Amino acid sequence: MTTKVTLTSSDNENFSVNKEITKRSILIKNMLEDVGKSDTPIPLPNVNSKVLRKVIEWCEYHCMDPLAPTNENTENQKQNTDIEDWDQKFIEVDQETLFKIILATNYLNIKPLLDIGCKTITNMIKGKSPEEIYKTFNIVNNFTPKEEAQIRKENKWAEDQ
Amino acid sequence: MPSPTLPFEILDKTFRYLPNNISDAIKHHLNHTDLFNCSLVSRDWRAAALPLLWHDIKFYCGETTVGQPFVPNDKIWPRLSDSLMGERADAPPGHIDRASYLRGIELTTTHLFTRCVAHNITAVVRILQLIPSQLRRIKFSLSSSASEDLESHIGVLQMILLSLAQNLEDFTFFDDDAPRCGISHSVFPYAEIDSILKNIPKSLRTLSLGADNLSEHYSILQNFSKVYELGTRISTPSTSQITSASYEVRWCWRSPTIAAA
Repeated sequence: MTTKVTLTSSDNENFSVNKEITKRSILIKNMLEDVGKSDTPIPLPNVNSKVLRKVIEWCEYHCMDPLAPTNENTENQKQNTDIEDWDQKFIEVDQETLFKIILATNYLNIKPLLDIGCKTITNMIKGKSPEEIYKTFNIVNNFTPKEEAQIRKENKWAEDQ
Repeated sequence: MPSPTLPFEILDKTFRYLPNNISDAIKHHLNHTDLFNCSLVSRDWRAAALPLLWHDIKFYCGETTVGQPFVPNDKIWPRLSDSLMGERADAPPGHIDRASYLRGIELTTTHLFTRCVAHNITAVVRILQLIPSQLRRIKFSLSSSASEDLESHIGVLQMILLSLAQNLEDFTFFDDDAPRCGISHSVFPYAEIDSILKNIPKSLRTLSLGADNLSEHYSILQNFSKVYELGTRISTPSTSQITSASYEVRWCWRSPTIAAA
């Protein structure tokens, strides 16, 4: 028999999930260890139901993966932005959802999924000019004219070769 | 609808996945790499990109040689040092300047046919003087056939080891050729080795010395035996590689934590 844990999203939707699967989130794993046996739902005020559903979907698919090592990335992993096929399809979402998944994963501390999210953004940045990056991410350039001038001054040494 | 903004830690993580993140400040700026472009996007993107952009500087100087994966960038050194010094001088209180992100310096000079231009070395020294205590990695690979060049290189090395490298962790020195008067003899001469090595900071984890010339092999090993006698902090060499073309001997200080474990 598997034990279930109830997770409550920010918009008050309850999700009943296998306890082992919720342990993919280090935040929840630690909570469960601290609290011990309890049927009280775990509130996740930073994650809405749409995003939580996605995150649970990922955790269920990856439930058999070995638990991620806690140490930092090696140099090799850092350079590798390849994403597995299933994960690639999983992460093909609108940008707002992608950002929310990343923020939720960071909060829930699910490192492998956070890596996939960051790699996806990295792949969107690659080869783009600053102007193209503004457009892609709908970013507002918030430099003041004074800061712009300072940046131009700072970068001048590398120009006019 | 604008996406939520990403916090610093996420941007940092994302930028670390960018290709070329192991290249250095000069290369990023000259090639306008992805990381460089990210630094121009917005305030928070710049804040996350700058520490990665300025982590290392690699100076290449002198002649292009076969098999070297770089093009010398002599002209840029004085410009870069002026720029970093200018920023430091004009900085309002609380401003974090680019030089403060620097952790590693690599200097490779090849001067077999022409003389090394002194103001290049001066430029490197001026940058180093901006960052006396934050340097973690120094890699020097010096090759010159002129004895005046050797003297100036030795002067720089001694100054760095004695006064600018308080928190140094890795020091690599490759004496590329100049069989007649190799720098390693002069920087780590048997007689004077105590004064230099006693001033090597306690933070040092690895000290790597290398040379292309096998005839220097024994004299350098002699120096090493002196190193061995000197230090109670010294462990056995972690790697020792001798090939027909070059060799490198690497020594590691035994760090207190490892010793305890």
